[in-house]
Amino acid sequence: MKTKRLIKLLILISPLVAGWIALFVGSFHVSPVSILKILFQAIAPFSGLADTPETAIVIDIRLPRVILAGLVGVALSGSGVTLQGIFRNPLVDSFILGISAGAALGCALSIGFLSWLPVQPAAFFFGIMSVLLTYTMAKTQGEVSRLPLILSGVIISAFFTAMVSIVKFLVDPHKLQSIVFWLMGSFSLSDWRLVTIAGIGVVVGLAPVFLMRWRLNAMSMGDDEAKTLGVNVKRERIIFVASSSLAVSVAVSVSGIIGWVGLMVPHLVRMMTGPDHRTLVPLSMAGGASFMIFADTIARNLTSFDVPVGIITAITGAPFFVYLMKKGGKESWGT
Amino acid sequence: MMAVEDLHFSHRQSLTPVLKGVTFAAEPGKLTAVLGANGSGKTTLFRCITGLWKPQKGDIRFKGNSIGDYRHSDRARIIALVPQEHEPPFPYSVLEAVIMGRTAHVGLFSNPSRHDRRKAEEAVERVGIGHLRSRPYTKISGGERQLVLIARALAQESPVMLLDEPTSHLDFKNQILVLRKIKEIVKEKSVTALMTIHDPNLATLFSDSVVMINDGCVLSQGAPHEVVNEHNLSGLYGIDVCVFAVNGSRVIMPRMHPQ
Repeated sequence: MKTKRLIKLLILISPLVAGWIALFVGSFHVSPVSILKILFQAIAPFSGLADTPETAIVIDIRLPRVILAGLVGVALSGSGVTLQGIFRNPLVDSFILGISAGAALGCALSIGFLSWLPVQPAAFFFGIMSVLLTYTMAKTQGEVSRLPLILSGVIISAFFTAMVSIVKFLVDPHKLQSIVFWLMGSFSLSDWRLVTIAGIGVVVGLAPVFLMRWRLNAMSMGDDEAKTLGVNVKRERIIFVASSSLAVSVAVSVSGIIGWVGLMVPHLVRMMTGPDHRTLVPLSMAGGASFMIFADTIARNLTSFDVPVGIITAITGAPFFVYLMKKGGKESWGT
Repeated sequence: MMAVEDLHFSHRQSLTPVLKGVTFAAEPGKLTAVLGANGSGKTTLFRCITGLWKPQKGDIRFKGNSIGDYRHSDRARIIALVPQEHEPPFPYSVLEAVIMGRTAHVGLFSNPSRHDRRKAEEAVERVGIGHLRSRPYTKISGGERQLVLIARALAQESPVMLLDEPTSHLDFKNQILVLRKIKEIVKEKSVTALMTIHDPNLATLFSDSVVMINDGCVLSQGAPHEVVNEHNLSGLYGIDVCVFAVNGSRVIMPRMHPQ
């Protein structure tokens, strides 16, 4: 019981620690202590503690990147845990309803053919559109329930992925390269404007999820049981799906498609701290943030150029996942 | 008192009705058993009462108020369900599972309060599984899990409790233990309890009233000593049945024909 408390506390503060480490690791050396000074200076400009050339690197380049990575991690992991709860399925991730494929098509179209349309809004609108399509399609069977939603998501994803392939096939190689790079996900374009966009998306999208998180417990018992417990399943599922879709679409539009986080982090946190969504949701959000910051720090320091962070999340996440699975056994999957 | 009035139900795109005008009443503080063969409409009846399926005709009344059109959040304050088949998706602890019973009492944007937690604790203690409270309830026995679900329904504090075959997955001892506990609680909290059950012996032993359902209709209703007889049971299950009186109670046996 006590160790669990400690683990929860550690997960909650981990984004701060990861962020601090990420700020002093980099091609330009800044000492850990001066990071703290610079941050303090930024909060309290009158203190006169530090005013060095390093300030610009930390405040204008590294800090927005770290915060953006953290926000995207929160969005992906927070929506992943939500969708796993309402679909009661461990294989569900934040992209199950077709957002990633939709956003990919938006990006591909924008880079390939519609040069007047910037990539971010295109990715955002196509991401949202794909969720709406998925939902409409599931609705043709009457009341929207779990399985039709997942199936429709799979179908819409497959359809949009095919469309992306067509675009990739048609565009010239230079554009193809930028499409492929965007699809792998990266924070190399981070600035404060993107941080603001992502911040608004995460707060607006995930606030309802955060407030209603305890009800995910009842909803995870299945539609019928949730209804007899007093959940207005239809209404609450729409709220959960809509708000997590909004957060994920915003995240994808600022960072590209970063896989694994929405699937893996909620599982890791559940294995470590238990399935009660009251604590699981905030802890997954914190875990997602620190994992993403950690992965991005590796991505930008591993080689002389920025490796797409999606590759890092998969490479670092998979072995750790296997380890926990072995250690925790089957029951930690909830089967 | 809960009354089911002239309930009719048939599935979409199906011509054969499942319920053909079911009418009966259940009293508070009494355990009412619903007997019927597989496919007789027991489960459909329960799904109509809990509002999961909408009957084409008829009504469900509680204390005179029609609750047929209640939303789930309102209905859950009147009816609590103890489900039968139950596959927990995540290994919630026993207490976390029981506190889910408070869903209808907790606001949309809130977490359970201290009051809700106390209600859950009380329910866990009342059912006698206090020692299991922090165990994952995927890791306890079938009988214990049934008690967890009963505790959850208790925490829900609804005046009506529906139990869907609470003994069907239990061994002999646990069947008796669970039914004894149910009976105690129903008396003590003056709950209107409705229970489907397969074994007519257990129904006779534990229930205060029996409703027999055959082919979507009520065959007979009354106290066990009135309606549990060879004629009714043979009609209900479609096999030859004999009933013996043993020590003031009744034992129901299938009639074995010599080969």
